[in-house]
Amino acid sequence: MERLTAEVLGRLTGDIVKQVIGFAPWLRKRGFRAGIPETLTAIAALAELNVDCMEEVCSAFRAIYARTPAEWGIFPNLFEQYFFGREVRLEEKRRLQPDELAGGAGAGERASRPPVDVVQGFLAGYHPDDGERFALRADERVLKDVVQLTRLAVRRMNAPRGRKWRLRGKEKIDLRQTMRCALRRAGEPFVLKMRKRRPDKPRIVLMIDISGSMKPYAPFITSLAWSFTRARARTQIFLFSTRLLRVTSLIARKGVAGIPFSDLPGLRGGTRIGGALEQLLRRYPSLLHRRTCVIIVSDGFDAGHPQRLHSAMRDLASRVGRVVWINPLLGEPGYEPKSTGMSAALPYIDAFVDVHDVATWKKVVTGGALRTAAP
Amino acid sequence: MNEQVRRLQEELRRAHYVAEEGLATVLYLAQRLARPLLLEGPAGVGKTALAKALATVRSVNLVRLQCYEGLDASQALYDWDYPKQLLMARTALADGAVNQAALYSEPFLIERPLLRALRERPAPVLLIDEVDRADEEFEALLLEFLSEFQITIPEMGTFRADEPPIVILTSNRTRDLSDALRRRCLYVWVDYPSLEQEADIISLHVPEIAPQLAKQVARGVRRLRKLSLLKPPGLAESIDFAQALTELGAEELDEDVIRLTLGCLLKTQEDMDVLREKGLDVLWSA
Repeated sequence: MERLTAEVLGRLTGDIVKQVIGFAPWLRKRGFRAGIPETLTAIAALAELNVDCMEEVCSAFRAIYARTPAEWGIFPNLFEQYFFGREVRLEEKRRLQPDELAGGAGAGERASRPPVDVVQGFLAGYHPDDGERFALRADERVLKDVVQLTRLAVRRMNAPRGRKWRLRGKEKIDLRQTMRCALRRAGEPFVLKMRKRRPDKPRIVLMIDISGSMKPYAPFITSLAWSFTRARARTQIFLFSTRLLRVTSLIARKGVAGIPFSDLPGLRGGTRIGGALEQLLRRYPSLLHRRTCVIIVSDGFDAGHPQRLHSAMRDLASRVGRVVWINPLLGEPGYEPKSTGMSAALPYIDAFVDVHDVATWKKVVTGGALRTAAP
Repeated sequence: MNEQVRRLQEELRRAHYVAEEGLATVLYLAQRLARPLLLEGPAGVGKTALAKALATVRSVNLVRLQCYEGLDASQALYDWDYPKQLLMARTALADGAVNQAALYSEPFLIERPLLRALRERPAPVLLIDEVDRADEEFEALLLEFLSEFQITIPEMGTFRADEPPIVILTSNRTRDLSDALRRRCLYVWVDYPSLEQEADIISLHVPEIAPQLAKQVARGVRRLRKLSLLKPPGLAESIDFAQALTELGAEELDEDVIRLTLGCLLKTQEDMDVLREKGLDVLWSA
């Protein structure tokens, strides 16, 4: 943490310091994780800079307060709003009201009510999620079982030891262990400790469809995603609807407590699986290789062009070790994967399974559907 | 602009690195406030080159730790010279008892990059490259180093830097870095440069190239980046391409020249197919 000296503070007026102190709480309301350490660093930085040149100050504060590319992108705008007094116009959500309340009877009562935006003519917009606090929240009742099963699944996903793993007298001495052991015997290395290779952590890419049609399964799927962050695996989690959003750290941190809508910008309504897969292939190529298992959780209802999904699935399947498609509708009586999206994707799927609760997840894990092919 | 920032910008330019004002300001602050600098951005935008240029500017060594999966303390911090210790233990045994404290002392200590960066004088520039490739456990290992510039060796005590090194971490975002690591660093998102900046960088690295051709190359490469490529060309590819054009004596971009030098820009067969499908004239047409 920065330690401020009297000399540093002496160069700045009280007003400047006060403004900077107020900046972190103001940023926190806009989703930044800024605290006292950042404020202290910012004050220390100001002492090094020319305060008259606000561009320079903005560059410095951007490096101090921003921690992600998204925060980096919006910071100059926020800086301008705060330090140049251009406040945000739409600061808080306001409830939409139908036009009956706009005039006529009851107009007198309205004066005492809190101000609301009045929409003339008809309800301007409605979304089934309006009024709900969390977009995603794990089902706490099943967490324990799901984590156990996921750990079992991950253990089974470890690549089997191939020919090279067999001991053929080529094993190497682990000098660190041998030395530690020798110290117990007055430095005499009676026991030679051999180096043991730990199997690699499996690489998993989990893609979760969060369109409206998947809403009934969201609590269980969130539990499932969270459980992967607690298993010994290199897991990356993405959400998609019409765009793709990486949420690994968000799920790991807030999956159980609940992820509010504000943390998932732009992920509402519609599904374009092909487009999301293309984004995955283009933006995160280093995640996809021969030993990666991609798990797609979706009901397959796709609003995009089927050809796009087809080519994206073909490219994905050619680059990764295994593609598993979890479709919660598969267990529904009479359901057949005949939607355009599913038909385009099916030829490239290694395992097509139904998972919508603990029992079905157990069945999939014990059935070995997630087991990766030997490299 | 702050006089020192301007001077740093000029010195970086002399070291063949074009830094825009914002980046130069943050770099100046990182040195003044003794804070590590975390650079994120697409591959090939000059994140690693910045550390090299800074080491040149400060006339100090560059200590580089290249991260990879499975990187651990014995590769990054320090290790003990076990064969030497065993030998010592055997010799000591012949004379009497083994002195364990003597076995874990300076002569048996092998410095790895982080410890070396702490103890070296003058303080070097430490580049922790592609930190996203290392495991999360390794990130936790870095925390003490990044916040206190110290390393604790249980057998010997704590080593603290009298003069902290300039630490630059780079990441290509193959995974999200932890909050704990981020909050210890100043953060900069390094994106592809603007057209003028890229032409400037090309001219700086390939002085023989005509300014018009440098601009044409920069414009063409920018267009390539907008295509849906698996590996979009970075600045290194632009410079290689410009170098190749100069070697071939090309005065402007045309189909023949591009066909011969396409390998400098695109590194996968799939990307080449995409470009051929779109037409090579994407690179030079108005």
